[in-house]
Amino acid sequence: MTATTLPFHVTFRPGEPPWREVYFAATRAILAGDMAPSVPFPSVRELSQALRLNANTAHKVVAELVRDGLLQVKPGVGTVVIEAPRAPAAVRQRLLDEDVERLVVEARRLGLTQSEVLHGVQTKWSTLFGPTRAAS
Amino acid sequence: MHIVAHSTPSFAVAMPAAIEASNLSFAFVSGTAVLHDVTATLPVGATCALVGPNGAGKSTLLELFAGLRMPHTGMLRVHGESVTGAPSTRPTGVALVSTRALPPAGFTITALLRYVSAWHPRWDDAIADALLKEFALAGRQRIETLSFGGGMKVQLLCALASQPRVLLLDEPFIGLDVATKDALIRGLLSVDAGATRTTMIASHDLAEMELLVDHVLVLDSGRLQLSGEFDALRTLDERSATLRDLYVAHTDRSTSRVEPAV
Repeated sequence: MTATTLPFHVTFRPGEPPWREVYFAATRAILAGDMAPSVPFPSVRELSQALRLNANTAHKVVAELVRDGLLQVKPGVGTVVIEAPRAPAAVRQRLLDEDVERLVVEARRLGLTQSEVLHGVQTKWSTLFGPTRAAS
Repeated sequence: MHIVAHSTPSFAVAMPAAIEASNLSFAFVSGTAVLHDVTATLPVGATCALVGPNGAGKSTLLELFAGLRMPHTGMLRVHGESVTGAPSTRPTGVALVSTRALPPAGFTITALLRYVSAWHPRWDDAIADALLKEFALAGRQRIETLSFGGGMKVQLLCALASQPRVLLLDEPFIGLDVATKDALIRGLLSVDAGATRTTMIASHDLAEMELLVDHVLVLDSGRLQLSGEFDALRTLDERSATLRDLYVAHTDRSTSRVEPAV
């Protein structure tokens, strides 16, 4: 009955539906490869116990992840992360929004201008993934 | 004004209601009215927060649901069975855990469990054993030597092991230290939560219930102010997103009346 540690971290913000917070935290971990394909995803019971979360809410998280094609139901095992997971565009956009918000707030706090931030992003992108082509 | 919010069910078959109350009213023999026209439905498997100021009628409502009091007017069904408060219609499979009814002295925990189990056809020894471990209780301990929190653990253990269809908790967190509260919540979540058991928690510990519940009832001065699915209620008003927001917006008191978590 001891609570399992989850392979992702969830921060519950007041007023946000809890299932969405868990859904996005799990999606981020799956897309980032923190959970390898075909690895069992925590059960409803494990999610509920680890997060002290309502079981119906935990069930909804798993159901939505299955519906959006990130998890697959495997009889006898439960749900597993699918091969080469891809999230719906809207979900990826929402996850990016969180990071962009953090970047913009932090840049503003440091007194950087918008063009300095954009330039910083372009430079970093080129360093990591090669020269960017001009947006077409 | 009573606001109801439910999301549209995604399936055609209606869920059977665990609790169905319509126009329930109750007054003490002295004539003091406690509840007025309470109408609410709770689906099977829901976990519901019952919140409201002191004296709103929360405990009385739970006692009506448990069949311990007789409603003056109105209709009450628990899992389809009509409950009138008469001993012959006491609903089966309903457990009420309350600080007002601590377990009796003179028993060891093991003896108490053996006694209680005889009254409950659905009693499960495996659940009782697992919860004894979870709650760090020893069977040979005598009831009268338990702390207040220990007594609450024994009460919840008895309730959960009897596998009630409806579990009613009246202020289960009051006067408990952090570790005991954690243990109670783990116990609550470990046994059949959300599957077939319907749970109602009356508490002022709004923060503690925030993630535990999927339904909310707000009661004030004996009247139901708000009822429905938490996720649906959250979207009614941008400022009413947390349990505390709903409480403040729908009780006739200032925010200072919200009691801090114990």
